[in-house]
Amino acid sequence: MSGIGIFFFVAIVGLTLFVTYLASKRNNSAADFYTAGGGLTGWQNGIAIAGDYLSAASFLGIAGAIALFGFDGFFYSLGYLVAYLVVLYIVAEPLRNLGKYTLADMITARFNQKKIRATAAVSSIVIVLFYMIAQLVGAGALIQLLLGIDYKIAVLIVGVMMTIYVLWGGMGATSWVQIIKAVLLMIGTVIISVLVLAQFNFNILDMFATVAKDNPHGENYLTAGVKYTNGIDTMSMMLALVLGTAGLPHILMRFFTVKDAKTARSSINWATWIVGIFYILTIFLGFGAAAFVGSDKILAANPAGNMAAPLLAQYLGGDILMSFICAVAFATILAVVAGLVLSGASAFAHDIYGQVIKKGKITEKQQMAAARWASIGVAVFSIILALFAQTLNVAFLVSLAFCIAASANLPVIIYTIYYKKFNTTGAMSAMLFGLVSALILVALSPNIWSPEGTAILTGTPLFPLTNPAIISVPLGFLAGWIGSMIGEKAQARKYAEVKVNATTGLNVSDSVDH
Amino acid sequence: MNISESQEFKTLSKRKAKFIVPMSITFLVLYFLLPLLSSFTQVLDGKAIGHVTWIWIYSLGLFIMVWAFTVIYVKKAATFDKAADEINAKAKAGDYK
Repeated sequence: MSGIGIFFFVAIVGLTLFVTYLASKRNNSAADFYTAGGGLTGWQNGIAIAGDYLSAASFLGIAGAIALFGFDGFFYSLGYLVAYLVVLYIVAEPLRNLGKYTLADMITARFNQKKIRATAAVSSIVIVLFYMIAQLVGAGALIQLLLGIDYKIAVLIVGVMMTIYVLWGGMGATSWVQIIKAVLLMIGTVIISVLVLAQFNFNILDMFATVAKDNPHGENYLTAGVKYTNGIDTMSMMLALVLGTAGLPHILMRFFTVKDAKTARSSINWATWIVGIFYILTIFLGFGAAAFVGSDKILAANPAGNMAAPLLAQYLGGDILMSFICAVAFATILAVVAGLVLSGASAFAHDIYGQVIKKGKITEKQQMAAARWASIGVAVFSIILALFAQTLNVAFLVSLAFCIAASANLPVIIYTIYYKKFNTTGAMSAMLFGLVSALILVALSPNIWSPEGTAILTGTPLFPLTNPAIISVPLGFLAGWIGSMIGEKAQARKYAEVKVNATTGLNVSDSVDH
Repeated sequence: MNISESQEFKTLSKRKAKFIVPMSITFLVLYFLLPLLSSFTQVLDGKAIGHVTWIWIYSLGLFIMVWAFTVIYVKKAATFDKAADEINAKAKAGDYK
């Protein structure tokens, strides 16, 4: 990669570091550290949410999947997009009205027990870890390809940088990094899309026709079923994708960075539009790569197809455009990773350490310190795991994170807001059954086992689906319901309180002006 | 009486449920219909315009659905806001126990 590549790389990274530095000057309290003081405006937070959402999986992964498999790759775009309606209609506002800093806080609005807090925090941390490893693996592969650095060193560089971001800036920094990144990502994607269309003289039908002919799958490229041949597995994956967002701790945390439900709603609105346009554009990215780069070259660069978008950029705009896209992809990954570290760190520092271990007797300063140490801990742990995860598919790890979020977190969120008889036993059951069943089923799935040895271990998978959502999600909901029946009676007054707060936003916690 | 038992709160809750539940069921059904049709039938496999198969048209429909449902939600939620604000004002004035 030429000097231009290095230049763009350093420039974008430098910019984000600078923003971090600015934000760190305003980072005074725990509230500031976790949630940017709760004062971001609707459009600011909306762009930040979009930025968080459009991670490496979206940009690199989907472009590659569509390039290689046609419509089957587009399933991801559809799933991620409709997931927003689930968030908007069902959880966003009640969540903001109830919660403080973390998911566990929101759940314990109803059940103030240590074990619930701890379990919710553990579930959040597991999800964060899977998501993190995915991003780090993607980053490692990207840097390795572009700059010729060894994978392990690339992962270390990314890991160290994100730790710096978080330690100095907290959520405030990551919010603005997300905003900058989202803007750059959209600009880059729009440029590529327009260039692709121009190659076809802005004739979309022409594009479809060309792509259908020139690829290894022929006409089947434009219909579903090229990669996902098992119908039940497809349904399972679509279930995980559409429900997972509503249970993702690092996305949900974004709702706490605005001052009220109204602003949260407005920010969702913004995010939906931005994300929607982006996912339509992924069609152009994928088709363009299929038509102009070709499957062989894409696969040669990375067997999962992750380098399709940068390679397309190189074809259309030479090294300059390629390095711009790569730098944006890198910033994309950095920003998401920073948000994830924060999510995991707050789960540990606020919930496990602050509430469970220290029993709430903790000063602001101590909590800040704990959060910073926890950030380092989460970062180091995931870096170590990512070092050994080079062969794992990025999209698989992300969809697994979604599956766990949908199985363990979502049932609890929904029951807490809407189910009168929900009690402690129900909450524990839902989380544990959802989390454990998802993990066990994945451990037994074709992702890990393969008779020909193409997966991680050699052998016959005991569970046939690559995504266990269709089993683990209903299991989580069922466990929550049954647990509520056999546990001690729910406190009616507590639920009435929760219901009022969730519906009217009466006791919205005070936020700091941003 | 306390807020949760009051007439205005109950009305607001009901109005919200009457909106959210049917809408949620609708978009989820429309969403799952796509992989159902594509995995178990051949309905979406045929060509619609040129080489563009029906599944892409359906997908476009889903995008429009998401945008439409977002707009609908924002507009509807604004009306709920008014009612909620009235309840909150009453609560702050000490009208509830």
